[in-house]
Amino acid sequence: MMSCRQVTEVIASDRLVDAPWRRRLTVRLHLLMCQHCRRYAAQLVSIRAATRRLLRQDPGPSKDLEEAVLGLCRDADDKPDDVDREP
Amino acid sequence: MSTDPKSSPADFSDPEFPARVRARDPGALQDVARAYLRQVFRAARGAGLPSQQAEDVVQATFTTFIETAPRFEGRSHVRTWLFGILYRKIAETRRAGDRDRRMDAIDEVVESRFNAAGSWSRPPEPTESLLHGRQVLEQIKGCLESAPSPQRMAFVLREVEGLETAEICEILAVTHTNLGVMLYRVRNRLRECLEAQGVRSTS
Repeated sequence: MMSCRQVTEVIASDRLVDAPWRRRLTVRLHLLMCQHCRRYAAQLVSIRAATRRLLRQDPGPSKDLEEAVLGLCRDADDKPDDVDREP
Repeated sequence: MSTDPKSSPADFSDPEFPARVRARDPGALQDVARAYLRQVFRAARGAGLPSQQAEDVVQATFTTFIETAPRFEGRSHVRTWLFGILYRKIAETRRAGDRDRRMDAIDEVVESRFNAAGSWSRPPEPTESLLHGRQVLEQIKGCLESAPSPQRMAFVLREVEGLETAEICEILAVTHTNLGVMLYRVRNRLRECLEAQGVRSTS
């Protein structure tokens, strides 16, 4: 048996995907029986959707930045090698 | 994968591609910039940088990308390489105190919701109406601000860019276990934060 605490931990830390099928089944059965954990899981899904909406609404990079970066790439041949520096 | 289809016609799996990057072929570098500028910028915003600062950090990221291009071996995807540079740039702009800590205040909050047997002692409150309301985006923004930057970055790469956990581990230079803890903390933090606001607005 898994406790609610363990079920929420497996779900929220994204460890369910790699878990053995027996564990995945245990989590599924737990969710069928436990409305609290079901609500918890549904809330995480809603938070993901809302965060996506939030960041996709962001205006994004300015035209100036785009031109500056493309300019850096265009002039890249002239740059001296700097292979020793950590990125 | 969540690359914008219209902005990434370039084929980064072409076996010639890493050599073109190493040679700083302007065409190859521009393909990378066109394909990933928007995503890199969005990740910088998601990690909590204001627009102007995000622009500066993104420009610095591409500068370093070009400087270090001769060392690109193509073992990682070019996107992983680029996000890794971005992550280190963001970490440089933060004070040491803002680093991810072993102890995190959210752990105690989560702990307090369960009894000794691990069952809910304070189950999740309904937030469904809240999450579909119009103010929720502003609230998520506010709640995200309370999370340390590495947690936010992990969250944004996973939830918004939809990257695999293995790639995020490489970008952030953490183990799978560490990434699991970061995601667990940031999701609980957001959930607790939104729940607290929901309870307040209905009472």
